[in-house]
Amino acid sequence: MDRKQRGAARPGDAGRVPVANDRPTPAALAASYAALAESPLPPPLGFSARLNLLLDLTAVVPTRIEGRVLGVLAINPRWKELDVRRWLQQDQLPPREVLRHLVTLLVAQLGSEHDVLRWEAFLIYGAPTITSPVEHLLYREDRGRRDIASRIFALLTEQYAIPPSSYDADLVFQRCLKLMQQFNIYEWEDFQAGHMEPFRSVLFPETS
Amino acid sequence: MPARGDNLDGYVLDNMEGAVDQAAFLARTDTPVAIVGARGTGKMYIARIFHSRAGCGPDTLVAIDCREFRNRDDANRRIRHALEMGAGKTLVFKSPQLMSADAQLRLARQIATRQFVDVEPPTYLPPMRFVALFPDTLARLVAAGELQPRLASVFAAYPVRVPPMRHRQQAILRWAHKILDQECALRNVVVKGFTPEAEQALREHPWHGNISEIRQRVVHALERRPAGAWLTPVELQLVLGSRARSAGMLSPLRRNDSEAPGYAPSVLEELRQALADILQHCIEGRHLLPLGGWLQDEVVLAALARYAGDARPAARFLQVPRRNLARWLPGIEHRRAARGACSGWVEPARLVTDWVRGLGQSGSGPLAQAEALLLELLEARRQQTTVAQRAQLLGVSRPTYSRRLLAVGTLPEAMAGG
Repeated sequence: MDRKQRGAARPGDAGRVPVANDRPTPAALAASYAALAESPLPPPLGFSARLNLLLDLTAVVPTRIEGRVLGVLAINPRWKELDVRRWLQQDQLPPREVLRHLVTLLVAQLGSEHDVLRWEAFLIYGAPTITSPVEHLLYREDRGRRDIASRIFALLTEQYAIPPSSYDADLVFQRCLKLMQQFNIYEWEDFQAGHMEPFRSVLFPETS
Repeated sequence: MPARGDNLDGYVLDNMEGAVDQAAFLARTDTPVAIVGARGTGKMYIARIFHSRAGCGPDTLVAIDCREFRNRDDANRRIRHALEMGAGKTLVFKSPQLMSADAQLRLARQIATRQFVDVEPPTYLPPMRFVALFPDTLARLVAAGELQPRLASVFAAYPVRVPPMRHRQQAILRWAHKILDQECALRNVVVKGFTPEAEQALREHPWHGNISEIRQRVVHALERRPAGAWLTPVELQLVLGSRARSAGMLSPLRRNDSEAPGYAPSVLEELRQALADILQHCIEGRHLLPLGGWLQDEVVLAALARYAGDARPAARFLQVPRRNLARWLPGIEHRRAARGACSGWVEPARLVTDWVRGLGQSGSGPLAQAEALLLELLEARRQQTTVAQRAQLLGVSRPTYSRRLLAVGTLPEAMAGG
């Protein structure tokens, strides 16, 4: 019988939790790490663009053609202009503490619904690795579709006399938005009498 | 046709799965915006939304087609001019990954710093907005070595992704009806709409060419169908597949909403397949059409269409003298009836238009590339055909065919340009 080499992966092993014998030796790990460490890490693509986006949204420093670098420098005069320029223009990350404090300061200007850690992760990694921290603001823009969903919701609860205590309104509303998209309903006149029953069975399955 | 509340100037209210909302949101900021989507998905439409939501008038949107730059100096000179004249405008860079690496880096530096390069003392750019349209994600274009990381970086804040039609199947009929409305209004004709079979075929088709393909098929159908009639799958050149029979009213509920990216062929791959199909059809039916000549005709017509009928840039793009175009056009017009009468030629002709529209200026000319493609397909059928037959299919004499074959050593090089 063939003896399996330690640390060697075989086809079909992907996703399996390694058993003790499969684990690489410390020496193999060290060699792999050394190989990885040889290639320098590229700067995070788009970090500066996202930091500028955050600065645009907060509007606490001048625009880029009105001296943004100097505006950011004014936040902490101990920073060096060259460093700030690299943060804003060359995707160079500030030291971790500086980044955290800067993001905390800026996100505080946006309102309490914004999450500092999520913004920090978004600045470094961007979408789609990190879901955009402004995504919830976009949904608010989609007002027309939400109005139609509200009307459908109200129509169904009235027509079938469904009491508010029998459903989770938030869940039903989300189901309604999704079903509208699946049924190709983007205007009020798209919603036909024949849609009532399928919508009821999906939105309020317990009542149908 | 069903009455729709939206007007003819706009587009379908499918909201492009959030792209419209995202563009409207970003318009409130000074962020350079990347709009990412396959050919024909409506990237330019999203750019216009961004521009109009920023409160700018339509005449201040400047499209800079980077496919038209002949070399680095040409790119730098034209971009410099656009930046100098760009106050209050939105500059939309189409396919900037096709520029030389130097030109990309220079543009990236100017956008990142908002300053002109090589100007002393340092001078800020006038206030303007930047949009770039890319055919694929920034990460993939960078990994493929086409896009410089610096240029990707300045547009990487929050890219707007315009999904392909295959991810928006619930909206296909709305788009088809909308486009039919628009094209009927443009032509001042009335049709009753799509038959149920046509609607089914519209839903089933993969739409690799996206919204542009819907428009091309609708336009073609209108040209072939008398006014007042219904449009069927035949006029739309769509095949009703076996899956059609299984679809019912509740099919939206069963649809898989997976956004997993699937394989989508490039337009050149689609063209190759369409040419191979008609070639095989000709060989099996012993009906040897002059496909090579027709292909050249379509390339010339597509080049003229690309430049709105302007012969000078079309000739430069085709890499031929302008007088040749004038000499060729009567013959191309004369053969139009024969090409139009061949139902199998509709798809290759449509794809040639798509392919030519997306080509850059570098590499061998599109006429040479198209001929090399057909030669390659013909030579793959040596066992089934004689030299005389292959020459007839290429639309040339036997000696000419042999001469073209002698140049076959350059074939891979010519194809690489596509």
